[in-house]
Amino acid sequence: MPLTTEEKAASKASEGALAPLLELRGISKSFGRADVLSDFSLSVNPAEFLTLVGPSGCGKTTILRLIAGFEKPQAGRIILAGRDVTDLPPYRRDIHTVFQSYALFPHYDVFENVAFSLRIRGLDEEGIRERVTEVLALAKLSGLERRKPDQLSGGQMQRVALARSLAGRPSLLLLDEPLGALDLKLRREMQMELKNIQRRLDIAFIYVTHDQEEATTMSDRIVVLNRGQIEQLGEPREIYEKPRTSFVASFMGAANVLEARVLSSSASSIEIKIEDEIDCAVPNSDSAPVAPAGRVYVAIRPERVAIHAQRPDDRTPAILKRVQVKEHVFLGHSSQVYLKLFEKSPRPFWALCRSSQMNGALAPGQWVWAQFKPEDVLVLEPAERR
Amino acid sequence: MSRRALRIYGVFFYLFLYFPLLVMFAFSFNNASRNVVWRGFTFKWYARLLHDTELLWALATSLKLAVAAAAVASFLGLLASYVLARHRRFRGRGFYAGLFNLPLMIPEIVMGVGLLSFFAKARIPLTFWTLAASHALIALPYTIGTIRGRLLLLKDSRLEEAAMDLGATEWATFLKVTLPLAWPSIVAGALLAFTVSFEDFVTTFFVAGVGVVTMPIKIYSMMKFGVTPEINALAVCLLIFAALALGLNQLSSSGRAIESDAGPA
Repeated sequence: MPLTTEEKAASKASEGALAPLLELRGISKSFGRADVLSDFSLSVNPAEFLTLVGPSGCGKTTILRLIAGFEKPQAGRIILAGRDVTDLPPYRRDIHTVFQSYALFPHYDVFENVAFSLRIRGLDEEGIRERVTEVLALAKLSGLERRKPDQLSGGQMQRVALARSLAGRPSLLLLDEPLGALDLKLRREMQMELKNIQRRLDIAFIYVTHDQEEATTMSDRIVVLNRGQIEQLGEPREIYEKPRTSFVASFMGAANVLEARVLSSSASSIEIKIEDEIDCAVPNSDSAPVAPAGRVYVAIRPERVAIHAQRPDDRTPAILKRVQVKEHVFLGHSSQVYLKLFEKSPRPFWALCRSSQMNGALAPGQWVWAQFKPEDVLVLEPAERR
Repeated sequence: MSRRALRIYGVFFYLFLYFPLLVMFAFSFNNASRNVVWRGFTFKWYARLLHDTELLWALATSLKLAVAAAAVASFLGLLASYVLARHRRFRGRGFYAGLFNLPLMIPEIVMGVGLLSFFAKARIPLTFWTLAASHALIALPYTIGTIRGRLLLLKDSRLEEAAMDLGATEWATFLKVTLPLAWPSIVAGALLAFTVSFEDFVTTFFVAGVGVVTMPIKIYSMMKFGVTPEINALAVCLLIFAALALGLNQLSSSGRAIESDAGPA
C-alpha cells in the first residue's frame, strides 16, 4: 500500500485509532460447487469510503453479505472493531446495509421505516422523534414523514433507505449498488450527496458498484475485484494512472491493451517493442518488475493518443506514426477514432479526441499522424499469465 | 368467432354455471312441499328453517367445526410455510413440501377410512375434536399453499434481512415484518380452510362421532325423504354467506403487494 493512503487514513481517523475498523482474514465462501471467494483478505479503515468495484459475478455482493452477516464463510474470520463477529447474526453487528432494492417496509410510513432500528433498541419516544427528524433532514426528506413507500419516487425511496440505515449510527455502512435503479442525472446528484454525508458523519462506507466512474468519483480507496480476487487496491487516481493488470486498465476507464516484448530493462527504463512493430523506451515504474525478453501487456489510454492531420513539429520525445483511419465515431463532445496502428495485430486501437479540435469527420482510409508519449505506455502484467 | 357468437357463448356459459342456483333460489320461495311445480310465492320455508332446531344445531356444529379447523390449519400452515420458505436448504425439503400436499391427492374416501381406522386402532373416541383435527388435516394443504407463496415473495424482497440488519432478532423480525405482511395470505388461507371444513361430507361421514351432526350430514339425511324447499332456503342463506366470505377474501388478498412498492425489482 502506498504511503499516501495510509497518511490520509491516519489523518481521518480519530486520535490513536489507527487499527482497522474491519478486517476480513482469509475468507473462503462457496455456493455449492462454485467458489466465490477463496482466502480473501481486506481491511477497512475507520471513516473511509471504500468501494468494491468489478463486473457482475466477481464476488462483491457476497463480500457485503458476509460482512453484514447474511452469509457465513466456510473459512476465515471477520473482525469488526477488534471483535470477532464471524459467528454473530446480523442483528448483533454494528453494521447497517442499504439494499439495492431498498427493501423499505411497505406497511410502515417513512417515519416508522427510519425509526425501525431505534424502536428495536428501545429508545424513548422523544429520542426517536429527535433522531428521525435529524436524519430525515440530512437526507432531505423532511415533510415526507407520513408517506408510505409506495407513494415515493425512486430517488426518494433511495433516500429513505439511506436515512433508515443511518438513523442507528452504525460504525460501518454497507451500500449494495444503491444508485443502480436511478437515472443518470439523479445518480450524479446522489453521488455527491453520499460523499458529503459520509464525510460529515465520519462513518466508514463500503460501497459496491460495477460502475467504474461511480467508484472513481466517491471513493477514498478502490478495490478492483475480478473472479473473487483483488486485482488492485488503491486510491482512484493511482488505479487509473498506474493500473497493474490489463483487467484493471480496461475496467477502470478505457484502454488500448496491447502485447509487447521486453527488449531490455534497467532501473530507470524499459525498452519494449509493442505488437512487434513499435519500439519505445518507457519509464520503469516501481510497480511491475519485468523479466527481460518476456512478453508483457501494455495499455495506452485513448485520451492520451493525439491525432494530427499534418506531421507535428513537436520536439518532445514521442511515438509518432503515420496511420490510416479505420472509423470515426462521433460521440458528441468527443470522438472515437479507430486507427490501423499495427499492421498485423488483431487488437483494435483507438484514440479519444475532443470533437471541437477536429476539423470535420475523418473518412475511413484517410492518412493521419498518431502521437503518444512513452510515459503514457503503461506496462502491465506479464502476458503469459492468462 | 364473431362478437355476437361470443356474446351468446358467454350467456350460455353463465347459465350453465348459475342456472341450477337460480332454480334453487326460485324454488326456495315455492309454496309447495315438492320441488316440481310452481304453486305461488311464499316465505314459509325460511320461517320453518328458523324453527328447525335440529338443522340450526347442525349449522352451529358446522360453523364451530369450520372455525376450529381453520384456526388450527392456519396456525400449523403458518409454521410449516415459515420453515419451507425461510430456510434455504435442508435435507428433504422437497419431500416435506410434497408430503404437505398429499391430502390433496389422496381420494377423500381413502382419507376417511384411514382416519377412522386410525382413531379406532388408537382407541381415540370420536368426538367433535377428532373431527376438527381431521378437518384441519384436509384443510392444511390449502393454508400452506397460500401462506407459503407469500412468504417466498417476502423472502425475495429482502425485507426480513433488512429488519435483522437493523437490529431486529429473528423473533422481532417475525412479529414486526413477516407476520403483518403475510397476514392477508393467512386470512385467505383461513377462509379456504373454513370452506373446506364447512362443506366436507366424505371425511365427516366416516369420523363424525355419535351425536356430532354437521350440516352436510344433516342435509344428506333430510334428502332421504326428498328435497324440501326448506333445504333450498337453507342453501340460499349459505350462498349469501359464501358470497360475503368471498368478498371479504378479495378485500384482504388485494392488500398491498410486497414486491412492487418495496422498490424496483
